[in-house]
Order: sequence, then structure tokens, then C-alpha cells
Amino acid sequence: MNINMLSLINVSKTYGGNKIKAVDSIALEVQSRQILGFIGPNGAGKTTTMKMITGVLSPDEGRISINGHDISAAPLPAKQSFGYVPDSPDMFLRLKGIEYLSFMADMYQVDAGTRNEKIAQMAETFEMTGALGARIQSYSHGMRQKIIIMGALMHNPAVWILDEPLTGLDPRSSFQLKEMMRQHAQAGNCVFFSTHMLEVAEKLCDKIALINKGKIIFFGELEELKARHNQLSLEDIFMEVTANA
Amino acid sequence: MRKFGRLTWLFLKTTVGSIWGKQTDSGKDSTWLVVVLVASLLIFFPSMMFMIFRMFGPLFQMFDASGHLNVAVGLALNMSSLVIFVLSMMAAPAIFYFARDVEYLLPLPIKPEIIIGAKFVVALLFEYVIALIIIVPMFAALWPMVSAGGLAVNTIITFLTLPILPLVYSTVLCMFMVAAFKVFRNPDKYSLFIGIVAMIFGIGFSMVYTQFFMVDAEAIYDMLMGAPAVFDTMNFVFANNSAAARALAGGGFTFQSINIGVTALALLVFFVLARVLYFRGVVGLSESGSSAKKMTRDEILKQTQGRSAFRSYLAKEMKLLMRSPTAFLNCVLSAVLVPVILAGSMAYTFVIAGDGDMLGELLAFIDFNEPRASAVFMVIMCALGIFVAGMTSITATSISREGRNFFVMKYLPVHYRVQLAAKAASGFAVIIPAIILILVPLQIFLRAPLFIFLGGAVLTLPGAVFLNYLGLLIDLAKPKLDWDNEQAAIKNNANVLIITFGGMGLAAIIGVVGVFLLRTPLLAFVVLFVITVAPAAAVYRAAMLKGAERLKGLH
Repeated sequence: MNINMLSLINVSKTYGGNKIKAVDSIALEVQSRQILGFIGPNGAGKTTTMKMITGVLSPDEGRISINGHDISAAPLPAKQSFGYVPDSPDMFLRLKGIEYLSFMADMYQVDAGTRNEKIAQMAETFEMTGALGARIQSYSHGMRQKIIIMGALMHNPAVWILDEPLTGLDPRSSFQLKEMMRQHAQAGNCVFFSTHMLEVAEKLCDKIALINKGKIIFFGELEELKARHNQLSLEDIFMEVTANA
Repeated sequence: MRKFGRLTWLFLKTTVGSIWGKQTDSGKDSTWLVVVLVASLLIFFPSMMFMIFRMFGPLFQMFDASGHLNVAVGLALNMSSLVIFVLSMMAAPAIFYFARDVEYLLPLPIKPEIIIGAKFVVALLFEYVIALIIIVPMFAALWPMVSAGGLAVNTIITFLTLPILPLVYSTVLCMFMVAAFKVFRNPDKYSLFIGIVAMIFGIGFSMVYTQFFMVDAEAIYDMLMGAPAVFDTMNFVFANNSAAARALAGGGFTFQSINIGVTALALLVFFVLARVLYFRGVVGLSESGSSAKKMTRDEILKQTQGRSAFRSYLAKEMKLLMRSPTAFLNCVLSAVLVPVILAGSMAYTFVIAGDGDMLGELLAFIDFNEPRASAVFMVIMCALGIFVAGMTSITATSISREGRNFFVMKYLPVHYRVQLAAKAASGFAVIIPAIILILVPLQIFLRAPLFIFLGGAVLTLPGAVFLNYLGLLIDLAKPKLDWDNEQAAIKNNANVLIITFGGMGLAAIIGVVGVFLLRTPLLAFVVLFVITVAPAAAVYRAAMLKGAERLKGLH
């Protein structure tokens, strides 16, 4: 039986003195064994939604629950149960890769045995073993993305929240991450990720949430979406619905 | 020419923007920031300009009386050139190399000379601002002494030409360093190297400058007229200044023509050398990376030993403080260097210079058998804690230094209080050694009774705690998060001004009031302890409770 791992109930957010809502009353839920693709044009509200889910921003209205913990009422257990990859990997640039991973492991209270095993395994997967001793500053964009992904997954979180995680990754690492996402979902967890790569979303996701101008314009299975649009590809559907919305 | 103008304007805008940043999270500088900055500028710069005016006035009079005014003016111009050279060594790489705009410009159909020229003009405009502060008071001291015609024109031409030669030297030297040595292609390493050199130069220069003007004008006159080698060298290096000095001292336009000619020649040489050196260093600048070797399993295990969230967060704060040249120079080194200089100058005066009599006189004056002397010692200790804490600016920039990555603090599963406590601890990690660095030599020289010394040492702590947490609260209230260049978060942050000047003011008030009112060591200890512990506890509590709330609402 699938259980609800991430839910957003009527969540809204308005920035500063703006009257237009960046996110307008959105409702979503992701169950165990599911990968949800969050797609939408630039400025549609994807990153704002993810920042509210992770506690970086507080919603003006609505409730967000992660693995049974309300992010506003019980922030620490909620934060402990997800791993978040932000949209920009340019952080902690003056730390070495290994120092960053160790820092993240300390923040998420990962024991020494598990962290060493995880570091060795993920460094191998992402071909980062040789770069761990160098400062993140010296990494390429793709390497920075990999180290941030490694740090986010260090504590083996049940819920993965990934903001455009495939951007900048080389084909091998991109393939590996997609495999990891599949395996993570199959193991009874969930993945919530945003992407502009519609062919990836089409192949990988169990469900799609389409957001435009702060509102969810479709949330459901891909087949359902295609059935509504004469079996067009996701790209064609995206072009159509975002142009008409 | 149009491309040159547009490019200069673009560089000017991006350089000012990246160095300045924005103080508030709304993206607009607030009124209070403008008020603080304008007030600081109105107090600091006019007082500095007045000091320069007061120093050069008598000197010019003395030389004018003997008919050698041009020698004194030459000295003034050379000193200005030297200061501009050092300051532009620090500014040049930020404009020429590390702005990272060149890699976008190189593929565009723009001549290299236009890019170099536009960048040079931007650097020059910054130097004119500095020149304004240094040279204008010198000119003001000079003007009443010169009766020859054309003084206004000569003054304007000298002002416009003076920063060019030192800027040519500094930019060419910077280009050579970046082109020839790979290590300087790393902005951190370059900034750290130049920052330390500039700091040592600044301290040395101010000591020489102060000593120079502490001796009477006649001694300076004799020294300059004896034409020491150092002045000859400066006249040779800044070759246009002696001509400009003669022109200003009433020598006529012929000398000013020589000044203009030498400056023009310097510009020509600059463009020739820059064409060779600049693009050699700038191409592939972003590719210069780390050469770390592959870590062994043992090394990995050593680095990944588990620590508590607090200890790990503190370690991260300390690493970032030590590895960022701007943070290291302005928050760590400046705080540690002040006590080292104080201790050094004490050692020089009492030991190296062999002025044992002076030490004896001082010790006789500070008789610790007198209760008043012990009370004064304790008052000074208490003020010292506040002063040193104000000098570090670590907590006053601890949120600002996070910049746009501030959001990471919010998604980590670690209570905000723990994160804030770790930031405060990073401040103490520098403040405490800095205080010890002052206390130990002070005790060696003054030889206070042990209980007085220990009492004084205890009194440094509440003041340090107060200012350290106050810095954290101020930065939480108005962090400067929107910046591209870390300098904006540290050097151009109003919170630093508030905490540094606030610390100095508070230390001075406690010092002055305490010295007059507290006449016994016991009274001094009890009163100072009570009046500093209470606000320290209040600020600590506010930082931990309200600070965590503020952090939650900050975005």
C-alpha cells in the first residue's frame, strides 16, 4: 500500500508588496514509490514551491507535510526526512568536496560507518573519488552539481527534492542519477523533482505536475494527460497548455 | 569611441555594483544605511583631510621661507603617488581580472585596446576619488603661499595627472604577476598576498608618517635638503612629480608641460605592455584550478570523523573565514595585528631601543600599590575587551557573508540557535586570542599584581561577549545578502561600521568615565562586572531567542 510522503494543501505565496501570487493555492501529493516531475516555464513558481517545501520560505497560506511532519509545526523532523538539491550548486565553494560531505553528514547526524560507506559508493557512482580533496571552487559546474547531490543524499532521506538536478551533468552521471531515482522510488520512497528536460520527465515520472503562472494546470499520470491531448508528446502538450494558460 | 564610452560605463556600473552590493533583503539600500554611511563619511574624511592639511601647512611654510617650496611639494606629491600605487595594486585585479567580464567580451568584435582602455579609465576614476581626499588638503595648504599666475590651471592638471603614473605601475605589475605566475591567477591567493603586503605597508607608512611629522619642521627641512637616497629614488620612480611640484611652486608652465609629457609617455608604455601582458594572463583565467591529489582511504576516513552539529558548523565557519582573503584580512588579521603592533611597539620602545629609563619612569608612574593605578588597569582591561571585539567584525558580517547561499541555513535540520551559537563562537575564536595577545605583553611590561591582572582579564570577557552578540543581532537585523563580491559583505557593510565605531565609542566612554569615577580595584571590578554582565546577558538572550525568530522570517 502506498503512503502519502509529501503533501501540499492549498499553498500560496506572494512576494513583497506584489499583488500577483508567485504560487497560487496549489495542492499536490506524492506517495511512496512515486517519482513526480514538476514542470513549467521559467518563473512559473517551481523554485518558490520547492523553497516552501524545504522551509526556506514560509507559505502565506496552506500546509506542507513531509513524511508526516508539518514543515511549519515540526521543522526539524521534516527537514531530517528530505534531501534537497537547490537550483544552483555554487555554494560552500571554499570547502573541499570531502569537507562539504562531512559537514552535511554532521548536520544530518549520519554515523561514521554509514557516511564513509556512502561517500565511497556515491563518489564511485559519480566518478568524483579523485576530486574529493580539491576545493569546490575548482570544480566544473557539473562536478559542483554532483557534490551537492552527494551531500543531499548522504543521510539516505526518504523524500528527495531536486531542483533541476540533471543540469550540467555529463551523460553517464545523468544516467546514474536517473537510475538512483528509480531505485529510490522502488524501495518505497519518493522523488519530487523539477526539470526542463521533458523527454526525461516523460520516461522517468509516474506523475506530472504542470505549473504555470503560479497555478497547477495539471496534476496526474502522464497517460491521463496524453489522453486529454490526443496522445501528443509531453513537449507538444507543454507548448500547447503553457501558450493557452 | 562610442564602444569605448559604452564599455567604460558598463564596467563602472558592474564594478560599483559588485563591490557595493545591497544591504537589505528587499534589494534596496535603506535610509538608515545611507544615514550611517553619510555620517561616517562626514566625520571620517573631513577629519583625515584636516589632519593632512595641518601636517603639510607648516612644512610648506618652512620650505617657502628658504625658497625651496618645490622640494616640499615634491615630497607631498610623491607620498600621494605611493599611497595611490598601493591602493591601486589592491583594486586593479578586481577591475582587470576577477570581474569575469572579459571572457564574455573576448568573443565580441571589440579591439583589445578598447577593453584595456575602458578598464583603465574605471580604475583611474576610483583613484581620483582617493586623490581627492589626499591631494586637496595639500593643495589647500599650498595655495596661500603661491602668488604666481596660473595656479588654478596647474592645480587641476596636477590633480588629473598625478594618479596616472602610479596606476600604470600597479596595473603593469599586476598584469606581469598574473601572466608570469600561475599562483596569482587565483583571486584568493592574489588578494591575500596583496592584502598582507598592503597592510604591512599601511602600518609602516603610518608609523613613518607619524614619526616624520612628530619631529620639528626644521629637522624635516634638514633631512630633505640633505637629499636622502629614498627621496631621490621616489623622484626617479614618480618622474613627473618633481616637474609638477616646480610648476605648482611657481615655476611656470614649462614644468607642467614636462609633467604632461611624462604622463603621456607612461600611458603609451602602458598600452604597449598591456597588449602583451594582459591577454596572456586573462585568457583561461577561469580554468586555473586546484591541483589536489587523489585522497587515500585513510585521508578520507580522517576527514569524515563524526562531530556534533555545533562543532561541525563552527569548523565550517572558521574554514570559510580563514580561506576567504577578504574575511581573513578584515575580520581576523586586522584584529590580531593591532595587539601584535601594540606589543611590538612596546617591545621596541622598552627593549630594542634600550629606553629602560622610560620603562622605569612609566612603572614608577603606574604604582600598583596605589589603589587608583589598579583601578585604572581594570578599567582599561574592560574597555579593551569591547574594543577588540569591535575590531573583528566577525559576527557583524556572519549572516551577510552567507550571501545568496543564506537559504542553506534554513533547510538544514539544525536548530537556528545552534547555527547562531556556532557563528558567535567563531567570533570568540578570534577575539579571545587577540585579547590574550594584548594582555600577555601588557602584563610582562607593567607587572601588575597577579590578582589585579586576573581581575582585569576577567573584565575583558563580558564586554567582548556584549559586542560579539550585538554584532550578530545587528547583522541579523540588516544583513547584506545581495552581492557578487565578498568585499561588499565585509568592507562595504554598514554593520561593520556600526560595530567598529560603536565598540571604539563604548570603550572610550567606559575608559574615561571609569578612570575618573572608580578609584579602588574592588570598586572598579564590581561596578564594571555588573554594568557589563547585565547587557551582555541581555544581548546574548536576544540573539538566541529573537535572533532565531528573525532568521526564520528572513529570506
